[in-house]
Amino acid sequence: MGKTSRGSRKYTESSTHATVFLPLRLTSGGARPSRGLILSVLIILALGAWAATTLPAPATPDMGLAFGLSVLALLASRFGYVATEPFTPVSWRLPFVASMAIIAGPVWALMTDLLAFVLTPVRSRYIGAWEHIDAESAWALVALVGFNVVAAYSVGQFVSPNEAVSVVIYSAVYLVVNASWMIALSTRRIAKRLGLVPHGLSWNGAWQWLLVLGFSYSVGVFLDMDYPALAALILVPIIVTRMVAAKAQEIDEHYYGTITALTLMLQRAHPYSHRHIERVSLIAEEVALRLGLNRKAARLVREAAVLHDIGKIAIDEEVLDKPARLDVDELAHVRQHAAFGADILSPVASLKQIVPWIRHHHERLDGDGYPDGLVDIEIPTESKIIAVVDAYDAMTGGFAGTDKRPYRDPMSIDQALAELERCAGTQFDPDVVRAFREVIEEDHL
Amino acid sequence: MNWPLIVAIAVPVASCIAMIFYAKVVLPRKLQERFQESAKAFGTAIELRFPSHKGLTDRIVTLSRFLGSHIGLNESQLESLELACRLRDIGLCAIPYKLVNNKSYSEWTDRERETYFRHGEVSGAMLELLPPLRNIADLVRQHHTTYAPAHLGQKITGRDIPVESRVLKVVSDYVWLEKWQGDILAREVLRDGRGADYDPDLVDEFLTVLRSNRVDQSSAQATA
Repeated sequence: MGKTSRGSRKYTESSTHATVFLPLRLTSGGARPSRGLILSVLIILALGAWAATTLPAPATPDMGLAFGLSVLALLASRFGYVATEPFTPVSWRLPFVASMAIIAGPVWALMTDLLAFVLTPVRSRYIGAWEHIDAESAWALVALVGFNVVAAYSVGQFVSPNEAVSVVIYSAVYLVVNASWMIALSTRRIAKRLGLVPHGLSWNGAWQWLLVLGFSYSVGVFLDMDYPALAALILVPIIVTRMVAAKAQEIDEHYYGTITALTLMLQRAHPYSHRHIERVSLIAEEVALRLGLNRKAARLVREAAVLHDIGKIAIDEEVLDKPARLDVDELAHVRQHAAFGADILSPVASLKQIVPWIRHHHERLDGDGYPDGLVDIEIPTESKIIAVVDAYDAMTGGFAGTDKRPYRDPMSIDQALAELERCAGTQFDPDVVRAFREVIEEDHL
Repeated sequence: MNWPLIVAIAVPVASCIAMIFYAKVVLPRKLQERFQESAKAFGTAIELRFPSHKGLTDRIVTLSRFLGSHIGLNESQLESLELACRLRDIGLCAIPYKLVNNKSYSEWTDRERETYFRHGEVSGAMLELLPPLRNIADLVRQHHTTYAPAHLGQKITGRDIPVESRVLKVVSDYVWLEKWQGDILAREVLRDGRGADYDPDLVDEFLTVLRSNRVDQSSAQATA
């Protein structure tokens, strides 16, 4: 999410993530680093740089070759595959960075790694501007120093038969340390202590790490056999991977766009509903993040928010649009939509996780909800979020104020928030209501 | 043989080949599977809206695939046919709830019948708006179109109707009739409608398929 010039948050699509080894994003919008954090980061960076300079380095480094490798590293960063879900991101420049560490020393490798990180994908307008460096970026820089220092130290401990093996050892240690760091950061406690949002891990992209190791071996062999120019060959599969990943992402977006559009059509949604549903879903995602859910779970909450009323397809539209109060039978009929929604989505493997959230999005903390009469601790947090967002949407006539219910006039924002707070503890989760109020108030500043 | 150099060159080459294979073969397959799953979901939605339609889609899919294989449709056509089977009735969301659930078919007025049978056009119009599903919009739109012209305004007839739509017409009518009036009467209706409502060759092939034991076994497994 970005900030407008007036300082309020706009609920826009997340921007491209950095190709770093960390579940972080090099985008503005994260928490501003405190002075203490900046000072800590600078001290750690200085210590890391000192450690790097004390590590063993080649007596006669080939600086021409090092320069060539640094160019390849920057190109690999620039053209490498950028994960849409940054939960197992990969650094495609690692084979070249590792090679630089072996032929020119760890300092050059570290500097190249940091430079590549800073330059890509954040565009040059952000370089050197403190207000664009947030807590996430700061910790990412620290982590890169750590990875390189540990990797270089490990290489120094082995008597390696040739450069190729040294490059692979460097890359492997780098990857292991990075994975450990990611696992640590995915825990809420550690992430919160560092002022970060935990992302949640997804190992679907782990195969790319094997590729990186393979490329590291290839570059090492090319250097060993005095064919350094062949190292540029590695850029070809990196670019091909990027093209294929872009294609996969495009297909993904088309698929979700199609399903969303079809869902709205089936619900006979009004033309402007697509925008309002998108807004509802983004707010639900932000509330999820505020409550400490990791980014992966928050993204799923967003999808659930789009689909939560799909069960209304199976409800009599005359009852849904009835301008008066519903009788007992009509109420029972409408209340089936939550269970219907779960039934409708259960065959879809990619949406399996959100099925119970949709089924329970009308449960209440006091057990008076439906369809299963669950109480507080039994209700998924995600369902509680959707319940609050859905109720607010119903009370205010949609976030655009144009989708009023047929049986009453819409409330104002303050009235709706007051009503949510009145029902907190019985119908709604108080923590969810609190987080929701924060999000709404920031949006309307 | 300089094996390290060979391996070093083979790694990037093999990864390029693997990526290209993934893009050309695996990704389209994955997308097709996802759409099939979603189509099942939307089919379920319509069956929940109109319980009288419950269970029909799975049987139509099974029989359509059998008939499609029997007449030589390729895998791509069979997948489009399956998708069309599952999404053929999404236009029913525009049909009033009470019309189908609270009134029997015999009580419908002519206008209500006409409204109901336009759901194919509505389904096609909805799918037309979605680029990834546009290729089956026409199949769905024509799935109630009669083989011979039923009225002056009917522009598409005979072999101009997509084969998948002709298959769907035969199979969906049979399944519907089988449910409400039994297998024997359903087959009789198909025979009587050869050349008028249905493609005569397809009716003959379908009746052959129905006599096959594999269809019964497969249907039994599908409904178990």
